[in-house]
Amino acid sequence: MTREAVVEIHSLVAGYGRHQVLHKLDLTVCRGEALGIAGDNGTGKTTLFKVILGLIAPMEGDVSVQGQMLDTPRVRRLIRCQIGYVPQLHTPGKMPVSVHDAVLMGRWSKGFGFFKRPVIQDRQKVSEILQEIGLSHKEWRPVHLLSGGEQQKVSIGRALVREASILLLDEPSTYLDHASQAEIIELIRTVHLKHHLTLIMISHDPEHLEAISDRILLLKNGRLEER
Amino acid sequence: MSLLDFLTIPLFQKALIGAFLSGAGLSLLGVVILNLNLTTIRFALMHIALLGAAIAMILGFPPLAGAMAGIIIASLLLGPAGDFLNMDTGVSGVLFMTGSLGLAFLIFYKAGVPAMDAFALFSGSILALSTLEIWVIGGLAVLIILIFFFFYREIQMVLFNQEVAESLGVPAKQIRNALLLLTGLAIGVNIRMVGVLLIDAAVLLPAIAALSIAKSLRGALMLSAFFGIVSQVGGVAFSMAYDCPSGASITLAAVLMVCLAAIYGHIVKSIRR
Repeated sequence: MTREAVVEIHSLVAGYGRHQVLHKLDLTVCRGEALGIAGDNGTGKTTLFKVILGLIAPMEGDVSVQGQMLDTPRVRRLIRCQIGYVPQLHTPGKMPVSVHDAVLMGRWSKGFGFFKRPVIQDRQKVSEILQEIGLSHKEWRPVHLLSGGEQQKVSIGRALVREASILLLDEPSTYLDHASQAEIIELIRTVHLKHHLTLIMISHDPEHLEAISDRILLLKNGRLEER
Repeated sequence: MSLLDFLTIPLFQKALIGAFLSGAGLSLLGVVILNLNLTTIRFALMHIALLGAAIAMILGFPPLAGAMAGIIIASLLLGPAGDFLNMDTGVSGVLFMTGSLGLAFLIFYKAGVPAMDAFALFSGSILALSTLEIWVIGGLAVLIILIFFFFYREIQMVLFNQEVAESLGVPAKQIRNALLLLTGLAIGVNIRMVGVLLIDAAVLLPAIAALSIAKSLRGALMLSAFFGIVSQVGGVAFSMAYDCPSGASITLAAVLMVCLAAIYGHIVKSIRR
């Protein structure tokens, strides 16, 4: 049985200003698939995610997500509602944001938005997700006081609370200690299966990619190759 | 003359109202400055104001009008310029600062503009506020409070992580640019109130005190407003009662707030242990 393609990219050229990072890249990701992407720094892994998220418009080529061509700013904006994004661990500033609020952010444009405050259902959803990722007991702690592994769990929680069908993970285990890395990888595997997500994960670590992915591609010179 | 006697004099009434409004509204932007790494912005806008004043003096306009126009234009340009040059806003602020200072001195030299007249803009005094200026401060304070009220969640996301905010569909750059404009306006207004050298006291110190003990952005904003009001109104009242310079009194009151907040933070931390 052929599975439905949820991300389809043909002959994509993308980059910043005149600088091309991705050259004639092709990619198809099917529903429920877990795809791993490996590659050195600067090969365009994060750029590829930005294109899928609609944060950068392609210079050339076609990109469609969930059957919708990302050819207008409006479609690119709408498609972000369908995608959960977990960025690389960043050092949070000193701004106090509770775990609850940081996860609640994922409900923006799904449950609340401009001139629309979060409602009880949004907060209930946050509590359910916190239970699932094991952070209920730290719900009201400021994120910047959590460990690196817990902060990545918050990012995963924010992506899950969005009820998106696609999850993009940009080196989710980088900068974590071994125990936290194992915990995060296990969590990703669990939520992938439980929520029937289509998952694309970027990582430098082949072990982590193999632990999660159905197939692994290598991004080299702006193109994807079978590994 | 007692403090109560001072309160009957319109000049001091205006000063206290200005101090209250500035503390309540303008101090909120200190939280933005600290979280978006915009601490260089004060220097950038100060020098851009100088350039604006120099141009206004050549054209025969009041230097203050030129300075405020310069601040508004620069606040609008800082964010997009940083994006275009692929620079952090704080770094593009340095570019604006040095460029405008060089240009201002060139204008002073070539056009024979008396530089000290332009520099006089920076020695503000809360006691010299006109009724119009009070209205401007009040209007700006109300605008800032309303923006934080209606766009609290979106501002929280931008201050927390701009990349995450963008990935969620929040127009993060536009919100950041709006915050930059408000910050520029707040700094411009505060320059008139406390002078350029003491502006950190009015805008940054209440936020530093608030962020050292707050547990949420909402808490930080409310505490920042509280510390802003206490330091500004308290500073002005102290200066009246003890015949001290108002700017210096406001600054010392704000420093005291930061010290008290830090002590409170340490006490709370040690009790939790």
